[in-house]
Amino acid sequence: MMHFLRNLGARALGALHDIGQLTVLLFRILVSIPRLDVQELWRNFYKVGVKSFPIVFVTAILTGAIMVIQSGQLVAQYDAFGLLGWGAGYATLREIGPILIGLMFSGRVGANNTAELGTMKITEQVDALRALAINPIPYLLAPRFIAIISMMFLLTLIGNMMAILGGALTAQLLLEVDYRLFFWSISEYLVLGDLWNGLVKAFFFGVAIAIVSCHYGYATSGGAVGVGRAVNSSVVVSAISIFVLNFSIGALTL
Amino acid sequence: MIRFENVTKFYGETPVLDDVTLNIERGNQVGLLGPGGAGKSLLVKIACGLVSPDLGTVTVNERDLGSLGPVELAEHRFQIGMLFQNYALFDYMTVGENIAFPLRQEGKLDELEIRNRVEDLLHKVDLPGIERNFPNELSGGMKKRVTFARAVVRNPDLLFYDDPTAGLDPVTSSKIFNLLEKVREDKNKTSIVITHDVLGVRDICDRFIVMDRGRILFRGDRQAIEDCDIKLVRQFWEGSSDG
Amino acid sequence: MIEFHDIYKSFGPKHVLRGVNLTVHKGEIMFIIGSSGAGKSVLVKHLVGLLRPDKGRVVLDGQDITDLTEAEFYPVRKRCAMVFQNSTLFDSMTLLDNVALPIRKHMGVTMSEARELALKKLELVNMADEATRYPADFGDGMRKKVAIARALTLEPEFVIFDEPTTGIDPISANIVDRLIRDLSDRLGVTSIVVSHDLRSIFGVADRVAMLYKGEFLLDGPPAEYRTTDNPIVQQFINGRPTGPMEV
Repeated sequence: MMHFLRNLGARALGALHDIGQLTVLLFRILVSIPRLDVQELWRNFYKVGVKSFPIVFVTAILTGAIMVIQSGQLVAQYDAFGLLGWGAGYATLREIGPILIGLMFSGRVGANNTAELGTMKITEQVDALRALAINPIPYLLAPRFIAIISMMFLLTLIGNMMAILGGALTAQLLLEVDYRLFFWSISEYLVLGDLWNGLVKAFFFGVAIAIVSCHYGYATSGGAVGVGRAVNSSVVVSAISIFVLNFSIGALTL
Repeated sequence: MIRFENVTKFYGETPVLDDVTLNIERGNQVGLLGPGGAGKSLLVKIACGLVSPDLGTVTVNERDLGSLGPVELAEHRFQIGMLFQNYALFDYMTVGENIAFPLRQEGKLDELEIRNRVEDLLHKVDLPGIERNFPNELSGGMKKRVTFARAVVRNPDLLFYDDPTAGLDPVTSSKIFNLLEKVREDKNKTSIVITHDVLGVRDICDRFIVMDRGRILFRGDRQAIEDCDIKLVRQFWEGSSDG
Repeated sequence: MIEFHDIYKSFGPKHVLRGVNLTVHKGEIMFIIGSSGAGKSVLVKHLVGLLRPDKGRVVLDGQDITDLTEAEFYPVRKRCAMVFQNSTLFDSMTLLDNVALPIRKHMGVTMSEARELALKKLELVNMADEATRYPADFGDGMRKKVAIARALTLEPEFVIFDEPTTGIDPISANIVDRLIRDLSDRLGVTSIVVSHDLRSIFGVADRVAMLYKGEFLLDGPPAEYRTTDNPIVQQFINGRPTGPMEV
């Protein structure tokens, strides 16, 4: 029993320690933003944004499609085809879109970011930067931080459009609901607030993925095994943060 | 033992091995010298069957590597002991598990015999009792010796050492060369040592090969290399960059 | 002038440095030798603030830099460059951009001007022809030469070379040795070279200090190493596999 309690205590302290370090790093990155390296920022925009586009595209279209198929059964029972666009759109914009894109992002971009930073750390490339009198925070971390957040936001916006498009196509082709009715339903019942709610979530998910992946990458030690461990922690913690944030934002904006 | 005939290998447009013909006899320890990018490591990888040449044939132990299927190639590699430049120790395994790994893969010996063999080898490389340590707890020189132990654990006839003393201090280097010298005394074993440490390798090799830009510049015994008047060979042997 | 006063440094139970004293004079080429794991790299990293001593002072040209903050260390690092053992080139950049990076960051020039200057530095180490390729395409030797070029971009007064000739062929090693000699002779650069390359030690060093068990065993000109009767130094210098030295 004592042993269990001691373990629990140690874990709690460990978690608090991590949260403390995350906060400190977040603060240091925010302060360094005015000095960030613009060239690195563009490189990261390209790497994070352009290269994530295909995966977001596919995820979004299929998500829109499946939302229509699922709600389609219900809608058909009551013959309420006018609600189809609203049903699929509401769920996608507010919940499913940001969450799925967030998870894809933490798996692809976050993991990649952690692995890259971790490798640089263990091969002393980070120390080499310091030795060249280049501060790694504005040079390495701040551009990645900004790129991840803004691309998460932008790609969610694009993803939302793709999802609605995918939904409309599925409605037309599979359920033979006229796409004009589908779009009418969206514009009639959905409000800008629904879109905003999702985008606010996307922003916070982006912050979580960015800071978590930077932290675990930058704190890597212990060789190739250490990089593996860091990537693992990064993806797990990002995913958990996404669900916790989703719940919190949902509850607060009820 | 190992015969390269007109071996050529391209990376893109440029030949990294250019029509190499070479014969290495059984029982010889060969020092393979040359500047970076000369194709030394590649030559060894080809002899291991890890890379296949674009042109030419490679015969090891009377077997044409090009004619071997994947299973036979794996068998071929089983008979080779390889000492990698970057240690290539598995860092999630203990030292004991690392050394025992090739034996366990082979699955011919029982656990007790494997343990004895590992213990015995660690004594030979002068690192007794570190079976339970992990590689990252060891210094560079110790890791090299563990890598050596793993390379010879299956008692292979053919050994390749890729820069075995890179980054080691003179005392540790000479310990490694001592181990190589012991292997050389067994006249059934053939080995190739890729190295930049000309001083260290002088006395422990039967023959020397100097490569440059994918070609063999020189081959011969110690007397021949000392008498050789090719400039690059001279520079390598004497370690000067004059001229 | 670089001064280390009574430096102690431990990593957990490992006491790596136990009271190290060393003075390196302006323009001097100081070699620090010793077996792998003796703490040579650990010592020199104190000079650029990558490590901080548990006890002792580090003084650079009269300025005590022991307790500088990370931010205060940046000006020091511009004067004092370091070439790492593993080259530490940035994988994501071409060789040219690797060398151009410190120029772009510190000299207030455009990227194309930085690249032009970088190319000149690459010429210094005979790597200009390969400028647009990536570090992964090269072996240790060539990467090391590029890392040296990168370290020299800011025209430092002090340069730390951590095993500059390890893993490179004798001809390239000689080029590197001569470069170090040249820096000292022509530009008055002070160099600290961590090495166990016997050929370099007796080729270019002005003074050699041997680190053993956390302290300096011998500190003097290379010739003294030939004549000393210290058995441990003797074993090291002659590369004997057996002897009193514990490695």
